[in-house]
Amino acid sequence: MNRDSIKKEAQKWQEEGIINQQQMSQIVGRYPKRDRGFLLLTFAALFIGLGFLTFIASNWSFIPQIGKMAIILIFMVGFYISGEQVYRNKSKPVGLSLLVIGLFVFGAGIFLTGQMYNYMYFQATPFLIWALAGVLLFVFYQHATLYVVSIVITTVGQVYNAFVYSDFYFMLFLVLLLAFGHYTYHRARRLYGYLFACSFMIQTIVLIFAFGSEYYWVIVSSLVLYGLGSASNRQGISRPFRHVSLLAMFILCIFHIFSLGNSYFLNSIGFESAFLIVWIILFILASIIKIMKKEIINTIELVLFLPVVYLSFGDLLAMLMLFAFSLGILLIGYKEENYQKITLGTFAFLISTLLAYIHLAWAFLNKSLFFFLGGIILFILSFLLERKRRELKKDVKGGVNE
Amino acid sequence: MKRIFFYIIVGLQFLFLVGMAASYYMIDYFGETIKLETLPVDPQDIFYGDYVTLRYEIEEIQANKWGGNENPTSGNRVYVLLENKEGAYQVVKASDEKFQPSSGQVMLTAKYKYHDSINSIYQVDYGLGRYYIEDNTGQQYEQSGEMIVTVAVAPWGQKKITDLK
Repeated sequence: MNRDSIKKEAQKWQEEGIINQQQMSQIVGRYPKRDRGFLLLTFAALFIGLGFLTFIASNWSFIPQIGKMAIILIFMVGFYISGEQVYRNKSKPVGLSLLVIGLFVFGAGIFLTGQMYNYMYFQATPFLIWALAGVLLFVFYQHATLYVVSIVITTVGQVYNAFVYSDFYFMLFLVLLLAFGHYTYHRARRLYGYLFACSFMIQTIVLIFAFGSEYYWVIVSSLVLYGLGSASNRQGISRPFRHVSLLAMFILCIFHIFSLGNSYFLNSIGFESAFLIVWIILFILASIIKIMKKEIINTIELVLFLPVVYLSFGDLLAMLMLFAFSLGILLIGYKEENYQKITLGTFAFLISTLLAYIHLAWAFLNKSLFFFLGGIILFILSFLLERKRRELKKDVKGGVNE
Repeated sequence: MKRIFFYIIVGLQFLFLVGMAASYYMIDYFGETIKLETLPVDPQDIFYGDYVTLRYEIEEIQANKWGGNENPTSGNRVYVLLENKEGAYQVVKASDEKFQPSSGQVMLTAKYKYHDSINSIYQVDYGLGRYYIEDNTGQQYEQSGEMIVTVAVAPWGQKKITDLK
């Protein structure tokens, strides 16, 4: 619950004499003010950093080498020190922006120095150094902006390494696991959790392709993330990890619906017994975690992790998985009267229906009839689901007033 | 956390950039210069400005000069021993294990690319494939045909192109 709504409630309680003034301020005090301003500032700093990068780069050839080095070093130190001063004495957001620009100048500096002095890299080493500088700054300031910027640099570095060197850069993965992992675990902040989970998925996808393994290993990495999320008792880890892994699997299922009916694609998939063994172990572990946590009802989420690649009619099974998952979430939502889950389940269900319709009807129906019927089906579905949702909302509100 | 830690972070970054520049200038003092034969072309890379792409004769290694593991993994580090023959350096032998170069010889580290079994050639990359030049002067190099590249090799393995003719 957020601060504003709890404040409203608490005021009502105070007026009704349930609690006194002091208790009210104590209750409100439990919910800290959320500072979201830094997100905009992060983007502002990112843009200015990029502007600096392109401006210097476009006028680069007119400056002698020593001059170039001097520009980079003076700008970097200048932004850092002024950032530190402003952060301490005047304004934290402005100070942070300056620090982030300093970090960008350092990153640009590594690339530009490398270019000037003909440095050859066998891996995305500049990104590693850059990311480490960002991590150190984050360790010093402990501010979310620096976490965001540094984890973006780390992830982009891994993707860059994949495209340029067609390889996986273990050091960047270690930075993610050790440095960001440490703070994601200890701070247990939802933003950190989501960013960590996204970077984890992106980096493991690079790992899978760099090693030439079959793409469906992504189920394993996603299952690891899901397992970690389920095992954690902290909201800031548990929810982001599960959400991101489920989203990844949802997307994979969509991909399977359209690809597994294609015999050419099916022939290109190889069987890896190692995958099956690892998958079975992880799947059992994840199920055990769910049972130990007494979340048996949520086990329906695990349906998305089934490896339908190996089965015949994989595309139809993938479709059934999506339906089972969406309906599962929807029903759990109704049962727990969890508004968020109902919305999510409704959305997932609509997407599943749409996909099933596209997949099954596209080939058989006249194109205009296809769109008409599709529109009507979606309309009816959304009407029914919305009505059910409103009924529940009314019930919930009614319950409060009783 | 103490403020001094901040200045250490900034100091390390400063030293890193200065070190990158310094180690490059050090090649001139401690390195050995060799001449290599090449052919150029001119593509673009998003992260850099203009550069000439160079292909070297010594990047194609005949199978009879290849020692060590016969099937190295692409992207692995290999060592190539070079010797001066008629003005330009040519491959003596190559392997995935280090050599002890005798006098008049130079060892370069390279990245293994692939094995061309039809021509029985092992293709490697020295990381000298890009020579950065000022914006929009690439044409001049492209038209100049085969060139001689002067490369300085430092004892710590770092190498740089000092001249392109």
